[in-house]
Amino acid sequence: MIGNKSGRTRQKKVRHEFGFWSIVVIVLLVLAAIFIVYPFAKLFYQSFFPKGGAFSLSNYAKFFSKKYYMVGLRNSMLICVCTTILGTLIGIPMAYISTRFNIWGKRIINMAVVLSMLSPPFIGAYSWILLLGRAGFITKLLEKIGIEIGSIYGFQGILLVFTLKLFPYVYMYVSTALKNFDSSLEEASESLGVHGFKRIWHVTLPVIMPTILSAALIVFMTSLADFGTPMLIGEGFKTLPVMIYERYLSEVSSNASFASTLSVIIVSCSLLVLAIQKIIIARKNYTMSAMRPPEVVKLSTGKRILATFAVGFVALLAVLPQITVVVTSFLKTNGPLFVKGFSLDSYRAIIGKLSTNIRNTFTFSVIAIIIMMILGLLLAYIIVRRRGKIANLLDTLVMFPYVIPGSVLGISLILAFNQKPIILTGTVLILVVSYTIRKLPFTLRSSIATLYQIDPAIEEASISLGVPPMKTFAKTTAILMLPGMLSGAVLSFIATINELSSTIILYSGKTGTISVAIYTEIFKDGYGTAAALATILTVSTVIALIIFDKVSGGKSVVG
Amino acid sequence: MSKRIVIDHTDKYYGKVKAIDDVSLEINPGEFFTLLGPSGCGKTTLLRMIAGFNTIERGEIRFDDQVINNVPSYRRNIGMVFQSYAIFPHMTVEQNVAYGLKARKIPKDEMKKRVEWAMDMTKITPYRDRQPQKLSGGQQQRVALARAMVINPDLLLMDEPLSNLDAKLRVEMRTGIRELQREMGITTIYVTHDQEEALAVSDRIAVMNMGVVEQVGMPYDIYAHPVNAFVANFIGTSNFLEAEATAEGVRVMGAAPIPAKLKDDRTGKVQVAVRPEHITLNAPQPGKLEGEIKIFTFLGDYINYEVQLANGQVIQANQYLNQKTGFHQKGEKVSIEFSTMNVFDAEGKEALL
Repeated sequence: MIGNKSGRTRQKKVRHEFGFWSIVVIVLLVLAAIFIVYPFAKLFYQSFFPKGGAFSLSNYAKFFSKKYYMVGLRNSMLICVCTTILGTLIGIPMAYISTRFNIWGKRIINMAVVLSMLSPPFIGAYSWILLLGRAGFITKLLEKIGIEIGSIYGFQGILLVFTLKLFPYVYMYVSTALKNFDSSLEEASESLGVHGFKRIWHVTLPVIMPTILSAALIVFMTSLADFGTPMLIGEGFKTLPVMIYERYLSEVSSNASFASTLSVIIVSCSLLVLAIQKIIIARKNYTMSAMRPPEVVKLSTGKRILATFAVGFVALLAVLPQITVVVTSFLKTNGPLFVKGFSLDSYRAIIGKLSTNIRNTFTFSVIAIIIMMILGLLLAYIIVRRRGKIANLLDTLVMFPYVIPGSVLGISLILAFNQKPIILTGTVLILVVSYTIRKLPFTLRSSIATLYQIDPAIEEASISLGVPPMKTFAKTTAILMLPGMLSGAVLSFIATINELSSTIILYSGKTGTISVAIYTEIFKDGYGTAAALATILTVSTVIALIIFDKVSGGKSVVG
Repeated sequence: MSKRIVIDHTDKYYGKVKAIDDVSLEINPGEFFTLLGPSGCGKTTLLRMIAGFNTIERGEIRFDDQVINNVPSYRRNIGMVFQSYAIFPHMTVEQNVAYGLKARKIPKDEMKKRVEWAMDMTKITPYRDRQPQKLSGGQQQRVALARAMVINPDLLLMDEPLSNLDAKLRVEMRTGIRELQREMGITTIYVTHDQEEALAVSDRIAVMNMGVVEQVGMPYDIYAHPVNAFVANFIGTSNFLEAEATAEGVRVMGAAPIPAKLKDDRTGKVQVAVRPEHITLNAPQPGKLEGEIKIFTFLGDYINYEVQLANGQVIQANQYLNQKTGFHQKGEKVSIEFSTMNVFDAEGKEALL
């Protein structure tokens, strides 16, 4: 847009060209400034102003000098690194076996893995406590025959829950990459005499390395951000998100300054890891179009049984928490104890006490998902079709919260909106804002991917036939984007109904959700009611997944 | 209904690159006008300026007397056919055709009549209820054409409409498009990089290169009298030979001068451009340009020879089979004569004949 020689005419022209979309861009920029930039700026600012005092680095000095916090940082890093390594080591072979060999029950295995990936992690922690905790079913069973298993609490418990919950990301990403692998590369390797494990090591794995790194990044980020699992099963083993929450609770009357400092530190860790991953990926990025997708190898019956058993067993472990909550939700309870026999008491209890929470979860999620779909549609259009600096800025701004732990987002929203000019604390709106910001990326990425498939000339054809740009967008591109976008929206929806870490900070008496209720019930030893609530979430997730399967035409959750 | 299109000293920039450089053209009502040039020459950019999808940085574009620089695309009443067809995938063939009429709020029965007429004319009536994905490329192309024509546009714009079709269908479709255009008498601007296609369909052609119009003219004029070496080379094939202009005529490599009256009686270094079909090969004669047959390619209705000159340069010569002379063999020495030629200045910028 240079070479402006006839000023007046040009300006008029610009107004015509950018009319509708420039308004959209401005509105989106303003929204991003209010709900993303401002809260995080406030958080950053607050971290330098302890207890209403003057500017000071004392919070940071405190963090780096006190052993307590350094241990927290070390714990977080330790758990994230171990989870990432273990998750990758489990996920890759699982994916390889299930995509390349003719094992039985692939659909069920995939469903189980996806379900465990999409369910809230604290359900995992809670279920494993029910199974292996001090009074756990398995613990007791083994005690009877004289076997003592060690404690599930602390590091090993968090690692168990995280690994089983997060290896599915590696599994799903790598499966998709392996399915799209150009098998002629492998054939070339075989023809040159490099075969078997050597071929996998020298050809297959290096080629899908960017995919593996992307998946590993998600595993790392998610385990770094998660608050519910270490809170429930960590006991003395405290990670940064737990510390943030505790500091926040103790500072609630003041200005959450130290919680802000912790938040800034954890966000810095996320961004650092993200930067490292980007650098590595930039160096080895291979684009591949599967000219000939690899064939599924037929195994002999013996090997086939073995392979199915191995993959099936891991999948079963991954989905065991979901099975556990469903089963226990129908058990009779007596206070915190499960007693013999089945009943619907737990459900009766939640319908009596907690129906507001159930209603809240679905109302908030539906509102948030509608907003996300509208935003996803508009943002995708701007990012894909109106490329430029402003589009890039918007893209970066809305993707930023993706790497932000929920508790950090919660605190920054509280800091930003607990005083004039905008007071939102305690309202439904602040929860909807939090959900929208945090879960939008799923919807946005699928919208963008869909839009890339749509010929830009379609819109020009419509405009040339006399339909103005805004109406054209509604009549052509928006309609064409809908199916592809819906699959991302379903994922956003699942993530929203299961959200805990920001809700726990932002909810008030009237705006509690199912996940909050599960969390508080567990701490009140209401295991039966917690299980019933978790079952509602699990069933909702399964239903949403079935819808996803229908709208996406059998595409993979991550592909 | 058909309008005169005037493009008046227009510029277009992409960043700092000047994509269209002071282009002026006048297209007559009902004319089939083609923008022809290699990829990146600016032909599509110019078309999109006319359509309203590109801004105009300088100058004016007028439909009759109306300056349309500031008229948004959707009010220009143009029919446009896209390279990718851009058929609405979520509508049937009939809905695609009716789309522009709906936007114009045409009464139901008239709309029906016009849709029938357009589908009939483009022979797509049998597929009216089909989804576009189920149509072949040629059928989709016809839907795109029907959709553009049905709105009775003041101007029909076509952006490489045939480039995604196979060779045989391309020839068939271009004849169809040409007939339809004549019948409707609608002003048409057609963009292509295929010179044969341009020669076949156009009333007039503008040859473009690097954002500039090199030559405007009727197909025969452009072919026979290219204004510079670029046009001579882009339209058809030309052999370029270095030559010396003298008072007696043009001397090609020491051969006897060919009598020619050059513009301004120019002398010195010039370029001679000769088309392969304008070369005659005979038995060697003194004073004539000589060469040796290197490659002999039989192409059905003619034979293509590659003839090496004394300085090593290889030129193309075509011999049509209805000519009485016998074939030349590989390795044979021949004399080379030109039945027609063009002469340009040494840089190839200006025609001198």
